[in-house]
Amino acid sequence: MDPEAIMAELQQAFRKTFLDPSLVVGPETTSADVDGWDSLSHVRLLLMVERQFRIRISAQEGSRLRCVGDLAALVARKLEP
Amino acid sequence: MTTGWKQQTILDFAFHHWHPDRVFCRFVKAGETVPMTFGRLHAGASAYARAYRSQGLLPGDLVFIILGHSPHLLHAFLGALLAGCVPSFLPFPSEKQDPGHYWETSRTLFQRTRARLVVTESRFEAGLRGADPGQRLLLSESLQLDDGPGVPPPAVDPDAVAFLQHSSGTTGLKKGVVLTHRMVVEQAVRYARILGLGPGDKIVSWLPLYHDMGLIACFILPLMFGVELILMDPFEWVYQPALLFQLAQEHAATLAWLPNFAFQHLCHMVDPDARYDLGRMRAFISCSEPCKAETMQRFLARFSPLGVRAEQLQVCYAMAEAVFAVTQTPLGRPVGLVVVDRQAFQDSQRALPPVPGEPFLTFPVTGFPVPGLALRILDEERRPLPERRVGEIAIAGPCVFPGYFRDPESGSCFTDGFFLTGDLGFLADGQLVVSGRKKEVIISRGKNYYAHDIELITGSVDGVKPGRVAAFPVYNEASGTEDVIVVAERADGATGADANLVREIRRRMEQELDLPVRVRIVPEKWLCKTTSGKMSRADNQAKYLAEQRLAGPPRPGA
Repeated sequence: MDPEAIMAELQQAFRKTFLDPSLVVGPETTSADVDGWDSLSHVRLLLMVERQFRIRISAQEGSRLRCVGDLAALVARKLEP
Repeated sequence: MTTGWKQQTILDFAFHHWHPDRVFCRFVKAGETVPMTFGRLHAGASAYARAYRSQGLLPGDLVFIILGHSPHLLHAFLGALLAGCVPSFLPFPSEKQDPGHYWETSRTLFQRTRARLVVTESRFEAGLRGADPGQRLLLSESLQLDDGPGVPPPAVDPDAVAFLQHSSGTTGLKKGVVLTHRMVVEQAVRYARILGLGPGDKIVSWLPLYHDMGLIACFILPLMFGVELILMDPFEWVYQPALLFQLAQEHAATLAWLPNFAFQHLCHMVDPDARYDLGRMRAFISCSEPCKAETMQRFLARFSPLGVRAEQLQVCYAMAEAVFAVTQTPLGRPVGLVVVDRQAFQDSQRALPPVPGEPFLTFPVTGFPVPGLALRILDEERRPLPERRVGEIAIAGPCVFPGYFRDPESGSCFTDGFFLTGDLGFLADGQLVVSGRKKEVIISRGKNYYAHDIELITGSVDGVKPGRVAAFPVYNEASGTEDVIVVAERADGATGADANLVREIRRRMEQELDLPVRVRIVPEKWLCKTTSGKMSRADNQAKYLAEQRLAGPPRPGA
């Protein structure tokens, strides 16, 4: 899956998690940019991403993410054959 | 008749149940479960007690413990009790907090409380030393836990201070709740009795020990009654909430205390196909933030296939100022719900039976007062109110604290010997219903925050008009807890939202309070003040909610 497609899918995951159909995220987006992005919703977001991409993200991997770009890179690595 | 056993201090109880080979705690971290026997607990605590003495600490000296999830938490705390010192847990700085700010404000707390020692880890040493070079430190890594003989429990005056619980407020302004051995024993004995705590019980917990629910229900109580404890890392639990169920099943746990948001988090996160047997649990006790009937109903519906039954879901109303429990619902039967007429409740603060066809409100009861604890509902003039009249909850009794540590203004929290909790509620057939809050405390994710602290920090952000900020809670159904809303007016008088300003307010809030907030930037004069010129949080909350409703489909918490 190419990076743009991953970002598009991630955007959907963010919109579903934060119940905001107009939410726009980019690689630089951090928790300070999104209303309600706290530790609990972060975990719900990761669960959504896991289901969407059919991958597994460990607690350690999830806790190291600093921005949406980090998450996109992690997803890309997990999808590598 | 004498029993030969003096039941006066926490250690009297703990050592009564002491058997060196018996497991006290199973420490769960990074996928491993390590059993800790009473013998090992004693050996580790003794090592700390010796270290405190060798540092020159005397009985009564205050020791702060700032540690991550490790057995050292238990050793350092119990070691302080063995040395006659006064321990107090503090949370360590989270990754989002600015370490410089955290340690700078901690220094204020250490100096104000005249702390003699801080127990911490080497990863925090540089930060703490940078802010407070003179503070005496003990690094957990420097201790050999198995060296030397066990330190016997000292002869302690039951009225001596056992430990302090620090709760609300920014680090530098935190108030320490003073708890003596006698108060803790009075609470623990009474609470254990109403729980029916027995040798067959096991407690499973992910709660941090710097929080009263974690400290008392999930450390002191099992320690005093020899009940096995399964203790997870709070951060690991957030990522793997199902681990609570897995451990409950593996170790046949019977009791767990959880804030409302944790019930909701489990509903969200546990794999629908997961199969755990939770039938042996005697109670999941909702505590430390308002229990919502819909959350309990959702938890029951979601996990009844795993053996969860209505009578397992219980409620406790607790606070550090009472050591812990103020009321508890009777275990073994479903929690009662009180349904009241909405109009009468809102207009005249009366909890009257509902009128057929008219709007109503539903509250879960929080149970009967812990025996020996007197509870009153007071009106504005601090006169007792009868049943079903809403007023401030006030408590008195042998486990209610005498005041905050080194705080001469504590007296204003009491009236006629009763502690004014700041919570609003009413009594219904002897059971307490907690219906709101009088004081400006916001409970988010089980933690208390003062609205005043949030407003002060926001007001100091460049670009925010000084004094034109309001912070208030709005319940978020998705997460099962209160979101903190910050509404601020711009200093430059401009009307549009400012993404940089929003980001900066969020950043400061995470750095200084470890608190995620929802921020709304509003035009000049949007915020309402009371007739006395104070910012009206209630009016601004109502205005915010009304605008959110007009704005269309609700976003979480909005």
